[in-house]
Amino acid sequence: MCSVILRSSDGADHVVSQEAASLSKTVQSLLEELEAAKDGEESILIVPLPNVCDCTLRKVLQYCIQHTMSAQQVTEGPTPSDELKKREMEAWDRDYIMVSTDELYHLVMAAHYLNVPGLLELCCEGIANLIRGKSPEHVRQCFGLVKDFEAPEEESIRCTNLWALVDEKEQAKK
Amino acid sequence: MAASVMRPHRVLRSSGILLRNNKRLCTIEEQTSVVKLANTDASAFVFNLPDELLDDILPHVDSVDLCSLSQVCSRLNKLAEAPSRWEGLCAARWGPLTELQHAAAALAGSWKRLYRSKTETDKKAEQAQNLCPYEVDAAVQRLGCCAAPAGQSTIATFCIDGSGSMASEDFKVMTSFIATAMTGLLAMDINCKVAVVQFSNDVRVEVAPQHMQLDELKRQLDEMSRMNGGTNIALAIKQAGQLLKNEDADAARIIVLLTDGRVDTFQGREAVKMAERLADEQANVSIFALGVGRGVEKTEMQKIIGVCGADKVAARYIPLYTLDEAPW
Repeated sequence: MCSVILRSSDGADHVVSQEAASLSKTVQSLLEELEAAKDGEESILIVPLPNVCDCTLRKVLQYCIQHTMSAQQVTEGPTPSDELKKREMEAWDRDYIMVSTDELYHLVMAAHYLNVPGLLELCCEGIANLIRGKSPEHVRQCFGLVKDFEAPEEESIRCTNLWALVDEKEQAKK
Repeated sequence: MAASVMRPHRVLRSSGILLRNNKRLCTIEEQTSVVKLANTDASAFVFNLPDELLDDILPHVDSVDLCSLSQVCSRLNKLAEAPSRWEGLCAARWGPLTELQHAAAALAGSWKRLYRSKTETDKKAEQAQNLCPYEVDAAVQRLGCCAAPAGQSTIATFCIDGSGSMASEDFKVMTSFIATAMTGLLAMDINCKVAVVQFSNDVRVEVAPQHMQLDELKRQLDEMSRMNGGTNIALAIKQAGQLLKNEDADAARIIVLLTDGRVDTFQGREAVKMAERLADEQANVSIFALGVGRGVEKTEMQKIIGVCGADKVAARYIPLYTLDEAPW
């Protein structure tokens, strides 16, 4: 498997397998572009990523490497059941996404820019966790948002959403 | 091994601006500065993310959270009320969405309203899968599509299963559907007669074909008592055929079977034969089958509908009120 170098915005280089790097669709298409332009045969391709800092790139690559490894294990010979594999991977993902909100922010932006579908999904789930279970006022406080409704409009919106609160209370009872 | 990059400046240029789906996104640095201005709390970044990312995040939260978000501010209101969001929630909760549900969402005005209506219906029905009012209306519209054009008459014949396997609540669901259906059909300005036939081992004409006031129809439906016994659908279709024989030749004949379809192979074959004869002898026959009760045998019912054309089966079988368990 040939390797490539991913260069972060602050100039740090990371050597990774092309397979792991290609989990990023953005890197994949940049690689294709570089491949087409290259003339020598012995060269390692360098992909500059001016929008991802070293710290975040490390974290992203951790994900890519783990996920390519587990994919290889599945294709190579006798393995524990696929179901078990999947559960292990999910546990790994859960653990992986336990990061500070600040890291989570950089990670989601990087996952979006680098276009790593699985990682993006994981980040979205992590962010959804920050949003869940909050009242409108609580959401405003947590996320520094300002209510921009007129009073009558707010009241009418509140009324059309009352049913959900009733639903929630009943679910809580159960 | 020397690392060499071919024309790196070209690559840098093409990747320097974040282009995805032909839209320019803010670079991370730009985004960060926005966050710092807005709030010192680290999680404040969430709603500074571009809408495109929030569209990926919001499918991860449930209906209660979406309702909460829509009350926060106008931007979140717009994001939380997006039709696709609620359509997604409906699909996640009630499986692949049917055409009937699409029609019901259109009648309701939004997927969110349909979600609410279905949630409330489910709560009332507990274990059973019940159509919510919008879905019932969509089903009635389907009946209406088979009605005759203006000026000609339509006869809606309801064959209601009064067999022992029907619980009294099932019976109530069926009679109230008849009332709702007639209300709907008359509201569509359809010149519509109604007939009601109850069947079990035997068959009874509850309402002979006639134009009837809704109040009177509802009264008669309320007074109807269940026959008990087996499920002889063939007999019901035969009776419907006899009632319809005397009507205008070019009138539209809508037959609605309300049953659990729990028949043995012989009874099933007889019912299909009888339906074939009816469709053969009389014009403009449309047969619908509405599943009601425990352990509904929809394949039997679909065979009966099939006599009017295999292409009609999908649209004309509607599970009205079903319980996914054995009847004993």
